[in-house]
Amino acid sequence: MTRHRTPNYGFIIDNRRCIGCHACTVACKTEHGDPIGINKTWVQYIEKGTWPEVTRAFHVMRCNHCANAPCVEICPTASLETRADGIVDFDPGRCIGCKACMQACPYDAITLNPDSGTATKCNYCAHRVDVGREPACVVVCPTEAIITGDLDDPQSRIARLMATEQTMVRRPEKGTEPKLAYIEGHRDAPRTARRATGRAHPLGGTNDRRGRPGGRPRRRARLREARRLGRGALAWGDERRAGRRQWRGARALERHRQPRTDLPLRPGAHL
Amino acid sequence: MRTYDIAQRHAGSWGWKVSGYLFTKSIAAGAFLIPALLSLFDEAAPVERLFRSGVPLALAFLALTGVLLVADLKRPERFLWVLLRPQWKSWLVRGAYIITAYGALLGGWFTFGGTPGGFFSTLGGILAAATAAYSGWLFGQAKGRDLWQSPLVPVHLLCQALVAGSAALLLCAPFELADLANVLAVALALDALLILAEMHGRHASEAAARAQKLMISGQRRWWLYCGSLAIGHFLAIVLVLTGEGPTRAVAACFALIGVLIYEHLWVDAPQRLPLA
Amino acid sequence: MPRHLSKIEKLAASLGLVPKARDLPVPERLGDGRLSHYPPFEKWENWEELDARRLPHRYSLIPTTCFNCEAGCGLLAYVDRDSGEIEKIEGNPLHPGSRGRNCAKGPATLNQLRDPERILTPMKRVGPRGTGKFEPCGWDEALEAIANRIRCAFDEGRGEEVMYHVGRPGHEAFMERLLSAWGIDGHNSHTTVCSASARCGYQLAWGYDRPSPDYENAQLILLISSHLEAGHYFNPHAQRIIDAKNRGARIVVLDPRLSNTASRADLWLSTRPGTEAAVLLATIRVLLLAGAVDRTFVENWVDWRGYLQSVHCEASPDLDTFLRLLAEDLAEYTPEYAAQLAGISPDQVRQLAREIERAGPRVAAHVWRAAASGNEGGWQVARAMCLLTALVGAVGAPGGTSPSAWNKFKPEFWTKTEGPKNWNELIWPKEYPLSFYEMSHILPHLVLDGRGKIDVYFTRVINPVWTFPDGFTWMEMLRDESRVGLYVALTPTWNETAYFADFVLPMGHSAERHDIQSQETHAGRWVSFRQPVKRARAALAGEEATDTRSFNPGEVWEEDEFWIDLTWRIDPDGKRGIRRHYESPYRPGKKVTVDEYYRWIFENGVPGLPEKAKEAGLEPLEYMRRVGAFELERGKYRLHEQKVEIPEGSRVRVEAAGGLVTLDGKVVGVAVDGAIRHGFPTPSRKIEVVSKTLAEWGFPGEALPRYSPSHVGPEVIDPEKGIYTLVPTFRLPTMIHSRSGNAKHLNEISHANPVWMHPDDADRHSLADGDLLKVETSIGHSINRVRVTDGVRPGVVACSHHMGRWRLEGGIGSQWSSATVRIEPIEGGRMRLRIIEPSGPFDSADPDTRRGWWKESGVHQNLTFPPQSDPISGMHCWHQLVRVSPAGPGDQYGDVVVDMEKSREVHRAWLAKARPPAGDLRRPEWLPRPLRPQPEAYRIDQQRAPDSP
Repeated sequence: MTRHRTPNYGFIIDNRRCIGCHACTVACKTEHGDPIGINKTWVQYIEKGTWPEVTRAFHVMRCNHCANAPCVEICPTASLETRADGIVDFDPGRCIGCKACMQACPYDAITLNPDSGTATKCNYCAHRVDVGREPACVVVCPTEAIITGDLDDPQSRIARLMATEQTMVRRPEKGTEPKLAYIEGHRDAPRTARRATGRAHPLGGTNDRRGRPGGRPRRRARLREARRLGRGALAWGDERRAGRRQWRGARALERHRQPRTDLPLRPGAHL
Repeated sequence: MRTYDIAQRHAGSWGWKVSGYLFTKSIAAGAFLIPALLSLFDEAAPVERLFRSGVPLALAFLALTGVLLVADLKRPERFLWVLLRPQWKSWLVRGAYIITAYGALLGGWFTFGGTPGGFFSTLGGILAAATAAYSGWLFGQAKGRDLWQSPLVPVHLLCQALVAGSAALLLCAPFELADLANVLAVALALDALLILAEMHGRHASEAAARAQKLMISGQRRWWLYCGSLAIGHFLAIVLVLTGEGPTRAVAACFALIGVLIYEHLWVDAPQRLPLA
Repeated sequence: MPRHLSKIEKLAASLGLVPKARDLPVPERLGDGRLSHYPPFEKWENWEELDARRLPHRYSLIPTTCFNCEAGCGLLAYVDRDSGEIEKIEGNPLHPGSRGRNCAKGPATLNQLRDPERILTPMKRVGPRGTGKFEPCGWDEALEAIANRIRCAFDEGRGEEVMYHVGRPGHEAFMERLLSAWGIDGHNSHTTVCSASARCGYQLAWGYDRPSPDYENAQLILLISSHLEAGHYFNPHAQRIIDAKNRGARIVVLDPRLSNTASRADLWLSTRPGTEAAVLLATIRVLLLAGAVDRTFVENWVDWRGYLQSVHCEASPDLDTFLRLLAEDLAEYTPEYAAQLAGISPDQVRQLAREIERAGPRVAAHVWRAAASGNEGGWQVARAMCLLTALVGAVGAPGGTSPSAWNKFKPEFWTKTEGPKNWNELIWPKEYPLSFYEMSHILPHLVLDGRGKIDVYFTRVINPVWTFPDGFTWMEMLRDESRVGLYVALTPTWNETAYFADFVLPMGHSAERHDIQSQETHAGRWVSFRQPVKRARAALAGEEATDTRSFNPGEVWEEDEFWIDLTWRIDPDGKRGIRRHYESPYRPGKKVTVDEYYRWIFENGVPGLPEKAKEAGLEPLEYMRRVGAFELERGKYRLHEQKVEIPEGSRVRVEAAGGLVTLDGKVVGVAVDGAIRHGFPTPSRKIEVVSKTLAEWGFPGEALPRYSPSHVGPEVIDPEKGIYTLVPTFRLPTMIHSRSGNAKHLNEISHANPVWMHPDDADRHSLADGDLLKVETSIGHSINRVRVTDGVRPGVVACSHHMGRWRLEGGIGSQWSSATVRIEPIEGGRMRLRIIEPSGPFDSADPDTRRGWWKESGVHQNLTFPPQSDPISGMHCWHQLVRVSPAGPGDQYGDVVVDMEKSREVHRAWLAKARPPAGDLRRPEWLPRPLRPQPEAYRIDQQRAPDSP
């Protein structure tokens, strides 16, 4: 019952497990009684590639609970606050509705609640954490794709995953030090997806409709591809400036990293 | 067509009230800053007359600024909390205190009068400059908008305050000081350079580049190049340097419109980019 | 956690200028600081937690079962001990199937409970039938009217005119027993618009109508379905598939469309609709040629002797000959042939074979609706799939594919019911002796053909006007009071069919009703208890709780109590012999209560439960109230090998050739490997490659596994001329038929059903994303928007099965998901449904109803589909051959135009393909029926069909 140490909470979203079912969104909304139009967590579907070399990526988006949170810094009344346990919490009772936090967040994770005129965002279900329970989205997730816990507790599942899996964060160049890390986030990032499989970028026009090299995709197909890439393209960050793809915690734990041998490599065929 | 997932876009959560606030604040700051600056160089008498127009002008526009700021809040009844429940790292708080101090000084000057070039003139000048420039750091704290991250923003806002202040003063007291027209012309030229630099300089990031592109392409292009740059700056410079009386008044109007257009485009454009 | 406040704020607060910081009590924190999924079970009775506004609440955590899809996942309702209200709903961690997790539809149950447009009282029709106008009435009035009518029908020997039509079953055995007790063959269902085809294919192969793949332990997961987003048991299956995938299992998906499941697959075969059987047969052939079969399993459990006897009677009866000849018989199914047919590469077929070979017996394979339900002859896909798993020895193996019945629990009761003596030809028309099961989708055609009338028609959580094909014909039947005498809709929410009812009776959602459910979600057998949680809480607190209505909102009731009450009213004095089945097993002669009903089952009908409850110091009923679910057993494999217990002293006969063992003329097992074993419930007790039943019942050409061209296959489409295959059946993870339309949070995510089209096809018709397009079927057309996507193969268009809900002008209905429409005849004797007011914001007690930001709520495409009944399985073959073109000038989004006369013609054309039995049996006796009549009902001469042509 006694705690010797303050935890440092974070999220991992494991894209090897996410099936895009939206359970997290609905569990969040019912837990918080949020109105239509407010989504503290949401799932984005992005289709990439050309048939049959096509896949659909699911991006679960939400507050990144940054260690260096710009929303906390800009909030004039401290209604946003980084708690000692790392949760970036929000107190609607202090909010004046200036919307500055919405401008400060590089992840578009903050919205305005039309009922109260105050900002709102994922607060890691702090009210549940305070009685020792995981956030609603974690409990509901059918495939356990959302992992929570104490990043500083080496025994926790999240710390073990951080130590053993390649993770990435969104927009690392912003220096916000997000504590929401993605496993296989890069596979789904539009800009890197093709590169990861060693294929030419669809916009490069070097592969034909079936993904065979040599042809040029049709003009409309290219435009559609461009539009699709446009959607969500900023969500993951600016590669040219991204100094580090990984959260620093993961790097600190890197010496414990064990190469996984039990998993066959996923074939490139489906990117 | 979005059928199977949910969008998260908050384009324009800062709208015309915020760009309007930048504009009124530029006038409010410039209307004192110009005479305060000129008092360093010029004769006392015309500058004092300039202060006589500038202080009420600044007060009026500062009040308007305050009204816009409060009106933009979704919980306007809580506006005092910015001062009374402050989070000091926020430039919103710092700015609120700067504006309050500047407003107090203007009120005092208006009530009791002041001496151009004196302590309160200098202090007021500093506060006016701070009033103009602090938003640069505030927008800089808005990490989500790369376009606003440029280190030039405070300088640019200061320059806009000079443009707005001198133009507004020209309209209120067109015959007070010949230098005013020159100040406006110089400030406009500087502002135009800064705009061109921000629009065509090497962008700091992809998001900034996209926001720039939004401003210099499509429909907004006409507003930016024709409205703000061609009419609001170049035509205004030509008119203010060559014209007299009413022509200068027209030039001043053009300059004000030019500033307003640019500020609105600049506030609006980066908010249109989807971040998620 | 306290905030750090600035000096200014402290000063301002002390001066009263700003509010003081709130200081709220924080309940005791659980555990050692690690976060836990669920409160510990021992605290469920009285659990303290903060709400999102950080106000403390005292809850009782009461388990129940989700009522949205068929999976029966566990839910845990948080009942506020002070207000008595259900404050939130999470998963039940003690449920063996769902293991505490849920899909979006689980937590959305709260939306459904709080739907401001719920039906709160029984409603009685006002004005002509089908105008959608109702007024509240009392339960007594409704019950009395219904009971009188049924009693009258029974007394006049018209029992067959009482029909119960169910959409969501899972009310384990309750209704079969009830109708059996009533003595009527009145059970109608939805399987022919759902899974008839797959059931047929599986049944013919191994004698069970569905599979229970052991995804958890599989090496290869082969899906012709979309179990990562829908499917039979979406959440329980998805979690196990993903677990397996992350342990290294591979996923192969056959689907013309990039489903969410296909997007997670290691190998996605984007096959042309209707060609799946060819791909599977080619795979079988590759495996045979490579010798990659489980010889022991095939030797013992595949009826190869039967195959050789029927097909190669001169060949020597040994296994090698069988394997060689089977490969020869499949000679035309080369990878090249199948790939060319399916529009994939031959390497992909070989790769599929390699994957199967590598996985050995750990192949968990599933086809459920998808290709089977879409195509004429789609049942061949399921049979090929079943044979494939059998050849590699995956049947019944760990990580393989077991039959469903091994993992499903069936309750027993304190009285035995005999089953009806009659055969209802409106439900089981004699043209379809092999149908799986009730031919529900052609009911209106049969009625309009004058084959019979319905005196009392119940629907329970089914919406045929909307969900079934050819809704206009349903409307025509329902409007006609001479054909449907009294129509009673039992439903928690408004639906398109209920608009045509005489009584609409509100029944509770998952947290407001009793029943038990068991599904074959994994290699285990469980039963879960659905209960009205407020009533359960009262019962646990020792309060008197005898009527669920006193705990539900308004006068919402539940079916259990309704049917018991209705049965007593039908047979008030017990003279009809019906009432006795609904008398208490504990208080003779008294009406059984729901508590007694389940108490008896839990005490006597669930092996192991009384012992488990005793361990916990509880009575079985109380145990189920608190825990919500019980797992009878887990990890049972290869049950076909179980030995049959032969009573001592009895003499059995063993047939020399096949090893069939008979006792007193009844087959009891099969001799394999030196013992008498259960085997499979097929005529040969083994997995049958060739179906003698098919040969004997008029389809000798289909007796062998083969690819038979579908009605929408590659042979008949012609995209250049605008002729495509329409796949109109795919489901979304957020929705379930028409029942989730009142869940606001689900609607917000999914609210339209645009037509998916490949970019090349869209280019061909100059259609851009979002353009209106016209989709013409053989009987009409609909106007929808196009979604241009690489997620569907060229030549195929796809449209989700959800959305396109409507309500009638001036009528009642649920506005979250439905547009207001006008239905009117137009030129050419056609009917048109046109949206006159889109769904949109509306006023209610819930402020959210003003915030719906979407205008288009989908297109009711099902209206434009004629019934296309597969001559064997009876399945309505969903896929449509359509002509696609840009919408014309007069077309509006949501328009549906149908020529009902053409629909009748199409029905007759498909009916003509069916083959009525030649002998005097209505149906092979070994094929199952959900409500099984007594044996004499199977004989055609036993009952004179009044209107037989």
